[in-house]
Amino acid sequence: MTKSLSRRDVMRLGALGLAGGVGAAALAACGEGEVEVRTVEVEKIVTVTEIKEVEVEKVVEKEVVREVPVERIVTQEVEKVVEKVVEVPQETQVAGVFEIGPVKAVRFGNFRDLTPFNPQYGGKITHAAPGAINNLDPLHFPDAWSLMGGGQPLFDALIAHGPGGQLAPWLATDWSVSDDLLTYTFQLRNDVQFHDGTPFNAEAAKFNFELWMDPDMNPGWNANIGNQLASVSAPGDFTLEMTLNEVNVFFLDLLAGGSAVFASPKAVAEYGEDLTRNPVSTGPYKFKEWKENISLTMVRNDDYNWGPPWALNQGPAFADEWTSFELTDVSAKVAAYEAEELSWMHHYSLTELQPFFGSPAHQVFIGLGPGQPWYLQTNTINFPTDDLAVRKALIHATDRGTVTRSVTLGFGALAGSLLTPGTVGYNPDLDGYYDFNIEKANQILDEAGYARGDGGFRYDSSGQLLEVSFPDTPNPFSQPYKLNIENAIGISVATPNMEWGTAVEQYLQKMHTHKWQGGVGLEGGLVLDTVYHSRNFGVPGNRAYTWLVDEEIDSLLDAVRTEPDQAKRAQMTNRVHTILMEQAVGIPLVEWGSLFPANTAKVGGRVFHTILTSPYPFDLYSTEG
Amino acid sequence: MGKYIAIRVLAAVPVLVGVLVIVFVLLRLIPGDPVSLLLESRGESSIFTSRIPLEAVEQLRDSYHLNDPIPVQFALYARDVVVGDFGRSFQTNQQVGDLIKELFPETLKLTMAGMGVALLVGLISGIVSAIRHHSWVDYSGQVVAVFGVSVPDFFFGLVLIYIFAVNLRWLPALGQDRPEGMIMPAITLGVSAAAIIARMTRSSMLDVMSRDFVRTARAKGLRESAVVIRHALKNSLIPVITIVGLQFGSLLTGAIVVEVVFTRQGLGFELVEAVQRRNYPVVQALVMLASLVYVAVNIIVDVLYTYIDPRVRLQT
Repeated sequence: MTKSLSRRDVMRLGALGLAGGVGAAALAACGEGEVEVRTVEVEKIVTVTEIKEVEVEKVVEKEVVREVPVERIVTQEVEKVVEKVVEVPQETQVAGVFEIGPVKAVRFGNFRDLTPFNPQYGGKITHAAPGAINNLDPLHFPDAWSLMGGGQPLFDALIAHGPGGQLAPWLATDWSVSDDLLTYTFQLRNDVQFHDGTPFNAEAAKFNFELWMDPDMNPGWNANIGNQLASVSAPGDFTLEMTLNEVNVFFLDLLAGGSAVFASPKAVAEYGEDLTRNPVSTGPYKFKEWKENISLTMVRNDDYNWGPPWALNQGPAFADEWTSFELTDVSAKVAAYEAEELSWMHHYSLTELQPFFGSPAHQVFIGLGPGQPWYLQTNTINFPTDDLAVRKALIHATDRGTVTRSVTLGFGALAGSLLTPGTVGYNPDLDGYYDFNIEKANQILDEAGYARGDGGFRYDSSGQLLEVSFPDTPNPFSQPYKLNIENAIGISVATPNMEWGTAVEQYLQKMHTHKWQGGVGLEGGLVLDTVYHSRNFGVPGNRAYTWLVDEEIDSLLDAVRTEPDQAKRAQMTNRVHTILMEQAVGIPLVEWGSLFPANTAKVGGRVFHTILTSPYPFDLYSTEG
Repeated sequence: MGKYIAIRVLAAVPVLVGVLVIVFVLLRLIPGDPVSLLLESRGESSIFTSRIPLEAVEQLRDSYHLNDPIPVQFALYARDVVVGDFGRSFQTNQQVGDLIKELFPETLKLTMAGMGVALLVGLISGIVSAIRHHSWVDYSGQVVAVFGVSVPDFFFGLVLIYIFAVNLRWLPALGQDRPEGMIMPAITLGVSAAAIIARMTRSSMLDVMSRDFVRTARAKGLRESAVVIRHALKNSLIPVITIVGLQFGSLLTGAIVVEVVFTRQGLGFELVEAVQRRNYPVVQALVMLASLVYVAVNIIVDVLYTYIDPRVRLQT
């Protein structure tokens, strides 16, 4: 969810980022080098904003929120004292590193130092992964979590989203695409070895791609890649050629997405189905032990000398050992971090991290990527959200700042549309498509004939209660949202508690009007295609539950996949996005990402944030000596 | 005795088959499809978005035989189980048999340690409470027992972590690989079982202590310790052993909370994860294992009765 942070954007955040005064903080730290001090005009001020330029050491923010329940109007006064105002050049459009309140934010494709870069060899790095490590065999990855979470240091990819989010070399030094956009040719490095000593070359890469293409091999997540290939060949020792079944301009993005990594053909022959317990790949760390649901331990690959050119360290990893823990209990995870048994951890909510704010030893990072914000996806065929008026009223009535405060403490940038800044096809004008206006929401419902009845709830003309629903699995936004909507516009919100398996089944059976979700992806066309193209409805894994069949959306998304010109793709994506906003298929909430508090007494170095939720391991080292 | 055990073991076979059939069918009737969950396993989190084609989903379903009718699925599964093949985990593709081999020793270690704590604390506290009936020791013991039964494991475990790992730094919060890492999980696991054992021991001892043979033993001039240990305790152990047997079974498969809080591998945690993910092969195998454990513990308890009380005769 990369956000282009122009001055206008930043000021909009400052004023519209109601809950937290994100903008001023961002402004104060956007620049890490030379800064220019300017007084900035505030645009789109909702209520009262004062910005003074004075000489103080730190950014001070004070915020007072007063709610007037009778009028359902929220008045907000924001007083900010800003030391330095740094103008972000308009042409850059991406402020890669900045502060969000107490959090150090890193946008997609940017570097940020945890500590001054003073690497040392030895020691251990321990971290809490963001989710379960499901599988370590590239053939069977059920999803990208296995990489994002714990297994990433075991693997290298052909290419990656490098600095600035551009496609960058890794195991492939160069690549080209044929004029018909069907054939991709990669030049591979000639000095890469698998952990078992066998060479990584075009034949080895071909072997892996052919496994993913084989319909009898159950290739899991990498079926996304395999089933697009008509053929793979190795015309030279280090030249790999792939031909697609049909044009898909997102193919390179898929290869850079994290799951397209390689297993040693020798190891595949040796371990077969048990490769998941004995992964042999090319990464900077080698497999040592995997205790399922507990931890994955890896040790340094001393032969490694093929780190990507955009990493500071292309040689062997700094730490002797790297352990990823799967800590499902939040309290236990935070306790382990507090007890200094974790170098860093993945986390979701800022609430539990408050003890570490301001501590010199602890730095709290957040990785912001492009894609979709946190939002409530809306089912357009169930009562009452089959009525566009109800869908629109729900968006107007959603008090995003209050609903998301329990997670973001008010520091997240509120989202106004279904794509976040930095995504190809994002249009800032759509952010203001629906304003927060409870009066307007009530007016829409009144005009649509939904009158208030018992308990202040609304009913349709046949006397049916207007009720929306989504499973609480649990989600921290659920109860604040229920209070918000029921009080504001009298639509009942049912939030039945259930475990995830039952919830997924019920989504597939079209049983609920809403579903919480977010999404990461650089190309808006690919993101919107997955979630809103009608062919994906009801196919598990696509998280596509709007059930809104629109021929224009489908045909535009089909066209996006074959359009090589990014500007034209952005144009078409924007059109799809506009239709989706008109149809009110989602209730945008907040731009948020993965948090990772790091203990600098245990880990140091440089973080590079890419499409993966975990930082790459190359430039991180143990500071324990 | 041998014949009795043989018959009990044979009688366990239909129990296990019954359990397997019930679990197999129930798993497929409850809402939630394993393939959907595998692909949507990332919950509501913000994930890399890329289209999954319907063919890939069907390919996965076919590979797990999920498109076959339930009787066909059961026949295929039963054929493999008979030769000791419990299938592969949908989640990790690991052999379920290997998974059990990996997890069972860990769970057994934790259970034994927890049971050790429970027996030590429970028996001593129960005996002392019974001997010092209606004294402050008795009342204190009862208060502690009520505390032990009432306090949830996760809370007690977290309190221990915050005191001994976060503040004092005496013990590790993530300590499965270190011997001292067993201390807090064993205490957390043992404390509620200790409370139950203490209460049972106390009431059973009180009952026995009022019997004639205890009065006779005292009248014979035996030392109080001999009266308590050799006569009263031994005779009050039968109900205690029953409780201990049941507790052992429940600790073996029910240490989920302790496993989660202390990040330990174990059958309980694995079973809960597998149920949530509809990981059929793992659930089926672990439920069968749990049934097997309960059956075995019951047989062992029955046999123990004959050693504790020679009047008990095992009849076939």
